[in-house]
Amino acid sequence: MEIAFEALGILLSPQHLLLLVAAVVAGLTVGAVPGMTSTMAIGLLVPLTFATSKYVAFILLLGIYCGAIYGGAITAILMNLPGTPTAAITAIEGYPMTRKGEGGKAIGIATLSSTLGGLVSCVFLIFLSLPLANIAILFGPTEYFALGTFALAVVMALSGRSVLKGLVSTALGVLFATVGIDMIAQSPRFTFGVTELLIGIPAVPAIIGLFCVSEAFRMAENVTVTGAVQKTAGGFRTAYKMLPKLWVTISKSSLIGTFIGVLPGIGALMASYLSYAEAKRVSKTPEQFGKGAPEGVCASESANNAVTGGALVPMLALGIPGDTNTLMILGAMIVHGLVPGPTLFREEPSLVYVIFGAVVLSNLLILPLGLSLARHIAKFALIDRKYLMPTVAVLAITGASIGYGHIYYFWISIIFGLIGYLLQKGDFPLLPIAMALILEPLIERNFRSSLMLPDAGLEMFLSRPITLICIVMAVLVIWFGIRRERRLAADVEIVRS
Amino acid sequence: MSIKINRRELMLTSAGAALSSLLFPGAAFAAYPTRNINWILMWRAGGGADTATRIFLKYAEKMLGKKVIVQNITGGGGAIGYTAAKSAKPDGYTLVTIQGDLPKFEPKALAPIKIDDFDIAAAFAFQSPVVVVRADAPWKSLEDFVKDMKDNPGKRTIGISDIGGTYHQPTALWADAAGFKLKAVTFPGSPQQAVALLGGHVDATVTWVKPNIPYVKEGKLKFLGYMGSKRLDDYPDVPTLSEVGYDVVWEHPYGIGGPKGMPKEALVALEETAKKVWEVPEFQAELDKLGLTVMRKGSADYRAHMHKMQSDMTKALKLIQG
Repeated sequence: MEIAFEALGILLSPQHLLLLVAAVVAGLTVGAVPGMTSTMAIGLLVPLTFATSKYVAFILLLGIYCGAIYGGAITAILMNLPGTPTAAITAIEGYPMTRKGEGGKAIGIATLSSTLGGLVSCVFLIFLSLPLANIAILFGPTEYFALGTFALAVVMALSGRSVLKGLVSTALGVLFATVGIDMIAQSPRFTFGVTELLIGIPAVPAIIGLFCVSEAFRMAENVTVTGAVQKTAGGFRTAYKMLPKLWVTISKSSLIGTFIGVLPGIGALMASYLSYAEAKRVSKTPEQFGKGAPEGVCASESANNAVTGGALVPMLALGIPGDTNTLMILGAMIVHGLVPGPTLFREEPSLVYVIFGAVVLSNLLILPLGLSLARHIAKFALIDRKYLMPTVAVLAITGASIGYGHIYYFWISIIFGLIGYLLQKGDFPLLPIAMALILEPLIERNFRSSLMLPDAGLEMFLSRPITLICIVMAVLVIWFGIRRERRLAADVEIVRS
Repeated sequence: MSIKINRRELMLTSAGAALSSLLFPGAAFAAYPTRNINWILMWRAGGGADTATRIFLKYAEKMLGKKVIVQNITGGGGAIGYTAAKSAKPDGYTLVTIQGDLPKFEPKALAPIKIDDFDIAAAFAFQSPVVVVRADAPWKSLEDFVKDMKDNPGKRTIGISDIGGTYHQPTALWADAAGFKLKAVTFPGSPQQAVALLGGHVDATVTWVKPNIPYVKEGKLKFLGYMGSKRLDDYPDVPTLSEVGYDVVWEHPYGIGGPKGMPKEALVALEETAKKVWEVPEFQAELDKLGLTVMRKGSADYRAHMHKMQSDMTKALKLIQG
C-alpha cells in the first residue's frame, strides 16, 4: 500500500501530470490523423526516452498509447477515415451516424465507451497481471496455431457479405504475408531476386494503404460531392443518457478487448471486430447495423481501449508484447535496463504502480480531453474535399512509411491503396487482408514449430484441449458464416418475388 | 554558385585542418571528423542492436566532438540497411553498425552483401548464447544432458529462434562436437523461448542470457553452459562449452564500420575512439545492464572475427541442411 501511495505521488507531481496530459492530447491527435498510428508515434518517441527517467518514459509512452487508440475514432466517425486500423470497425457504424446528423452523439458514445473500456481493462491489469500470466504458459505452438487460425476464420467468415469473397481476401492477405524472408528457415520467398522484396509486405504501411490511401482515391472519384460531412456540435450529452442502454455492450466488449489484449499477436483490430460482431449478433435490430447503430460504435471503441490494459498484462508479466504498441514500449523497457517479468514486480514495484496509474489516468483523461478536443478536430471535417484529399493522401502515404527510412515502404502504401480501392469496388472485404498480414506469421510460425515437436502428428491438434477448442470454434464460425449468407440470399429472393 | 561555396568551404576546412595540425602536432586525427556523421542501423529503433549502438555512440560522440545521426533502415533481415550502407559515399561520414549478422548473407545467399564490402574500424560489445534448462530438470551438467540426448535420440527438444539463425548455428556446432542428434523447435525470440521452456513445451533452450536471469534468480530455470570464450562474471559456476570439451565459441559482436574505401585517417580515428570507449566504466556498466560484454577488438582483429564467424556459419548451415 505504501508503494501505491509512493507511485501516486510520482504520478501526480506537477511535471509528470502535465506530461501525461500532453501525451494523451498528442496521442489523440496522432490517432485521429489518418496514416499516423499509435505504433508509429510510440516508435518515434522511444529514442527520445533514452535520456529521461524511467517514470517520464513510461508516462509519455502510455499516454500516447491510450490516447491514440481512442483518437482514431474521431476521424473514423466524422470522416470515414479511420485514423488507426482498429477505428475501421468504428467507422462502419460511426460514419453512417454522422451522415444521419448524429456525429456528435457518435463521438460522445465513442469517448464514453473508450474510457469505460480502458478502465475495465485496468482492473484486470492491476489485479490479474500475475495470475493471468500463468495461463499464457499453457499455450504452446499448437495452441497459438489454433488460436490464430480461429481468429482468421472469424474475419474470413464474418467480415463481408459473402464467405467466398472473404476467402479470396484472406487468401490474398496470406499470400502477401508470405513475401519476404521465410521467418523460420530465413530463405528468400517470392522475392524474384529483388533485394527490397526481402523486406516483405510491412503490415503497418500496407494496412494504412488499404484503409486510408484507398479512401483518398475514393475521394478523388467524387471531389465535387459535398454535404456528406456535417457540423457535430451538441449531442454529447445524449451519450450519457444512452448509458443504461449501452452498458451491456460496454461490459461485454471490454471483457473481449481485455482478453484479446492479453493474447499475444492479436491486437485492437481483432478486439473491435469480435465485439462488433457480438453486438450485432445479440442485437434485437441487426438490420440497423451498417446504417448507423450506436451499439456498433460502442462495441468497437470500448473493446479497442480495453486492449490497452490487456496488452500490458503479458508484457509486464512475461515480457511478451500483446500488440505492436506494447512491443515498442517493451523496447523502451529494455533500454532502461528493466527486465519484464516477476522480477519487475519484485524489484521495481513503484514503477509497476506508476505504469498502472498512468494507464488508469490516461483512460480517465480521454473523457474530458476527447470531448473537448473532438469538436476542434471535427473542424477539419468541414474542410473542402479538394483540400482534404491531397492532405489525406500525403499523410497516409508518408505517415506510416517515413520512419522506416526506405522508399520501398512508400510504394507499399500506394500500391495497397490501389489494391484496397479496386477490391472494395468488387465488394471484397479489406479486413481479412489486414488481419492475414498480422496473423499469417503467427499461424505459420507456430504450425511449423508444432511439426518440430517430437510427438508431431495429426493427433497433436486433436488431443490438446485448448487447440481442439479453437479448431472446433473455427469450423463452427465458418459454418455459421455460410448459413448466414444463405439466409441473406433467401431473404433477397423473397423480396424480389 | 553552389560550386563556389563548396569550394570555399572545402578550402576553409582544409585550411582549418592544416592549421590545427600545425597548432596541435600531437592531435594527429584532428582532421576527422569536421562535420556531423550519419549512421545506418539495420534494425528497428528500441531493439537490441539499436540500443547497443546508441549506448556506444553516447560516449563516442563526446570523444569525436561531432554529432552522430542514427537512421534506422530496417527490413530484409538487415539486408536493406547493409545495402544502403555499402553503396553510400565512402568518405567516413556514413557509418554503419557492423554486427554478427553481416557474415550470414553470403553463406545463406540472402542478398549480395559481403564482409569485404565494408571497412571495419572496431568492435565494442558482444553477447554469447547460453544453454538453459528447467531448474528441476534431471540433468546436473551439460554432460548429463548430452548423454541423455544420446540415449533418447529425437526425444529431447531444444528451443531456438529461426532455423539457421543466431541460436541454431552454435547449437548445430555443439550437436556436431558432442555427437548428439539435434531436435530443434523454433520460437520468435528469447522471451517466447523462456516461456516455452517454463511451460514444458521444450526441454532446453539456447538463447541470450539476459531474458532468463529473472527465472534463474527465482529458481525456475538454470544455466548449463555458456558459449563465450570466458565464463560470465555474474555466473562463475556456469562452465563454457569449450571447458567441458565441446569446441564451440560463439560471440555475437557489435562494432563500427563504413563502406569500403574510407579515408585511412577516419578509420584510425574511429578505432582510437572505440579503444577509449571500451575503458569507460559507465559504458561497461550500461552494457552489463543489457547482458552485453565489452569486446576489445580493433580493425584487423574484428575483421578476422567476422571471417571466422562466416566459416563457422558455413559449417553450421551445412550441418543443419544435412
